[in-house]
This record gives sequence, C-alpha cells and structure tokens, in this order.
Amino acid sequence: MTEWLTWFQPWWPNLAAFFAMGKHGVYVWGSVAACVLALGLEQWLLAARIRRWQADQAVLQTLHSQQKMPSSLISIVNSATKDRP
Amino acid sequence: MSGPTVPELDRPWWPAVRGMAVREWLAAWQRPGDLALYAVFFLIVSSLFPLSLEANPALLRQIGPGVLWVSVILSVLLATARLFQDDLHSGWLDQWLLSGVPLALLMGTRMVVQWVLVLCPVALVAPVVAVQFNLGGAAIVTLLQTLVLGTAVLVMLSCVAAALSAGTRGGTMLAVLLVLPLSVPTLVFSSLAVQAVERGAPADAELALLGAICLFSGIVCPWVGGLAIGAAVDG
Amino acid sequence: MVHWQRYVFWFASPARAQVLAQRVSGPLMWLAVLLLLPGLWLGFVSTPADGVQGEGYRIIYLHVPASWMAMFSYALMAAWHATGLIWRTKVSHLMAHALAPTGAVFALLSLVTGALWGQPMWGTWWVWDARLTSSLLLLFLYIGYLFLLHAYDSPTRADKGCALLCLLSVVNLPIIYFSVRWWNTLHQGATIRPEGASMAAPMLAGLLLMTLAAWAYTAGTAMRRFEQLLQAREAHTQWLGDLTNEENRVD
Repeated sequence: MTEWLTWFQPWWPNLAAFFAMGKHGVYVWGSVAACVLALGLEQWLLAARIRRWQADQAVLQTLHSQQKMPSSLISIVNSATKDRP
Repeated sequence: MSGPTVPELDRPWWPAVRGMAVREWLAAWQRPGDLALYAVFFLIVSSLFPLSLEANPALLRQIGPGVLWVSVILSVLLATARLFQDDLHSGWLDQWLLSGVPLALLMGTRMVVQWVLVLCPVALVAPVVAVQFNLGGAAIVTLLQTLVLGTAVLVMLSCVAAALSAGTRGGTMLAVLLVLPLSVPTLVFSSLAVQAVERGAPADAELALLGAICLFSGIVCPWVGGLAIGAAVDG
Repeated sequence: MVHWQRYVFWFASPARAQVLAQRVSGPLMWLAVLLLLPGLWLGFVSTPADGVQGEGYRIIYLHVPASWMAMFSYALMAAWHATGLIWRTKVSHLMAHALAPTGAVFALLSLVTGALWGQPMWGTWWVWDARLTSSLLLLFLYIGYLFLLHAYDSPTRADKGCALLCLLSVVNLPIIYFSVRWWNTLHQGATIRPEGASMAAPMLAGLLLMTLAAWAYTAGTAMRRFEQLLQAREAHTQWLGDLTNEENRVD
C-alpha cells in the first residue's frame, strides 16, 4: 500500500542529477527537445494556415460588405481556390 | 475489335482484352530502343557498384544479389512515368471506360504485357551481370526464378502508382516514390533467396513467400489500379 | 423503414461534422495536457532508473507513444478511407487527410528518439534492426501519401487516389514488417529489448499515460485540421455562410 506513495515522490536526489540523467542527459533531453520542437512546429504551422485562410475570408467579407463584391463571386472565388493548401 | 459505341454487358470480354494486349505489344515494339533500354540501364547501374567500391571477388559475391535486385527495381521504375501519361492525354483511357470491360481486367492485361516486356530484356542480361559478380550457377538459376516472380510484383505496383499519379504535376518522381517502400518485401525475399543458394542452403521458403506476394498482388493490384484509372479519367 | 442509419451516419453531414470538430478539438488538446503532466512526472521524475540501461531508458516514454501513434494513425487513416469509399462519405476522406501530417510527425519522432536511444545503448546512431527499419519504411509511406495528396488538383480525385494508396499500403504493411523481421533475424541484427518481460507498475502507468496523451494530441490536432479542411472545401456553400453568420452561431 505504501508503494503507491512512491509514485508521487521524486526519485532524484537533487535537480542537478535530474538534468544530468546519469550521463545520458544529452540523449534524454535531446529527445524531449526534439518532441517539443516537432509538435510545437506542427501546431504553429496549423495555426498559421488557419490564420491565413481566415484573413483571406475576412478580405472577401469586407469587399462584400462594402458592396464591391457580390456573394456569388465570393462563392466562385472560394470554390476555385478550395484546393489550395 | 470493332469499337462499340454502347457498352454491352453480355458481350464477351476476350476480344477486347486480346485487342488491347495486341495494341500494347505493338505499341511497345514500335520503339524497340525502349525495350533495350531496360537491359542497358540494368547493366550500367549494376556496374556502378563495383566501381564505387573495391572490386574484390568476395565482396562482390556478398553484395551481388542485393545490388542486382536494386538495379532491377530501378530499371522497372524507369518505365513507370510513361505508363499512363500519354494514354490519359490522348483519350485512350476514356475508351477503357467506354468499352464496358471491367477496368481491373484491362489493367491486368496492361500489367501482364508490361511484365513480359520488362522481364525479357532483364532476364537476358541478368546472367551476364551475375557472372560479373561471381555468382555461381545455382544462384543464377534462383536469380532468374526470383526475377520472374519479383518483376511481376514490381510491374503491378508501378502500374498502380502510375495510375494514381497520372496527369498530376511531378508525376514521374511521385510514382517512383510511391512504389519504393512497397517494393521492399520483394527486394528482401528475392535477395535473401539468392544469398541462401549462394551459401548452399535451399531457398524454398523465400521463393514460396515471393510467390505468395506475387499472387496476392495479382489479385489486389489490378483491382486497385482499375479504380485509380477510373478516378484519373473522371477527376 | 430503417432508422439506425440516421444515427450511424449522423456526422456524415459536413455541417454536423464541422460543429463536432469545433467543439471537440479544444477539449481534446486540454485532455492531452492533462494526461501528459502525470505521464511525464511518472516517466521522468518518480520512477527509478533501469538496472541495465540506467537513465537513458527514459526515452521509451517518448519513443513508444510516438511509434504507436504513427502506426495507429495509419490504421485509422485506412479505416476512414475505407469508410469513405464504401459509403461514399467525403467527410471520411477529409478525416484521413487530417490525420496524415500528425502521423508523419510521430513517425519521424519515433525515428529520432530511436536514434537518440540507440547511441547510448549500442554506441551507434542508427542500427538496422527490425523495428527501426520498419519505422523508416512507415515514414516513407507517410511521405508518399502526403506528396500524392498535394499533387492532386481535383478534390474528388484527391480523396479517391489517396484512399487507394492508403488502403494498398496498409494491406502491404504487415508484409513489409514481416519481411523486415525475416531479413533482420537472418542477419543477426541487434534487437531492442529494453524492457524485460514485465515492467514495474509505475513505469507501465507512465507509459500508458504518455500513450494516451499522444492519442489525445493526435485526435485534437486532427480535428482542428479537419475543421480547417472542411471549411476550405465547403467555403463556397451556403450552409457554411449560415453557420458562421453572427445570428446563427450554434454555440
């Protein structure tokens, strides 16, 4: 039963040992860094793509509200560019 | 085969299939240089390996099966690009759809003809190259067996890849990129079979697996390829 | 009169799928963070070092979720594409397109973490063992899929072509794994045997939490990407305009 408590207690004696990871520090923290970098980049690229698309749509809506562009034309523009990544 | 304007579902398919096979065969033989190209390319690529490494006989015998098979893969992929590009643009593939013959059958016919066209030059040159790599007689026989089965699988895969990428920009390299990972089992088993025979062990297991892969591809690839051609023509 | 189909295909409608994706992607990402924190704690802070490998074994808490999600995503993509082909729901194909980049990232990460694990363990950055080689081939399959996806101009052809490629590859995957294992055992390559036959409970718990966190991350990101793909494809339709219109906001 007391074994469960060990799950909540850190195994490391001090912070320096935690960062050193018993001379494997470069590899372990390198892997962590690689994961953070890759997944963060993925999120950032996805957000950038969404932002870009929303900006385009906002421009079209502005033109529409200023009555410079009928909604039928917006429809055509969107269906023509729907395949662009 | 007189072109039907209306697909007749109860019409026998054999005339269409035979006509198509004849057309493919003759079209290929109009440019015999292309057929020789398979053999020449195979010869040249496999010669590059001893040139880039040291040419001692023991090393060559060791790497021989692998090198030979990689060269075969590259030769087969050489033809991948032109498999469907011209036919798509000329409208020949539209005739496939209009003929009423199942696309899988037409695709299968195309694959069989292509396989024969690739196999003959490569199988003629392979013993010569095998001798250059100091492979023994029994190994050469096994090599030819693996060539018969393996080129069938490769041709089927490259037909499917070509159908998927027909008409797209970057079609050539894309089709090659698609085929390469899928060709790994063929490569592994063929090369292992030849290496086994070189060592004196029987290669029955590897050849049986290769045969199974060939049979499996023979069922799946024409069907998938037919669907891909349908999408290519419609899309 | 069959009624069950109404419920099975409820989300096949793009409008409903859009709303679902909108609502679900945020909570899924939060769930990922919620699962990640205890997983990282158990994996990196509270569990003791491995007897044989020392502290370096902790990389499995990153490597195993990454490779598992890479394989699972590919299987999911194939399932979605099969659904789309059989029942002709275009929304299913989009779900598969949304999963692909995340799966590819995890495949790459499984290779990178595998290499970083290999260096302290066997002294080489890369070793041609069965698992790493299969991961490499899975990455190539993902790359091929993504290239094909971007090569198509027409969306219907993109859906169908990618579906065919994905299904053909998924059917070939067991054959590829089997052939690589056969090749590897004959060449007596180094085998990965980091964990023994049984892992201690906290280690297993940490691994499970990290894997679930990776799943939640994949689901959340895929839903967000799916929402974006759906919006881009349906932007020219009326229903999307109605949905995004201020008066008609669903939430």
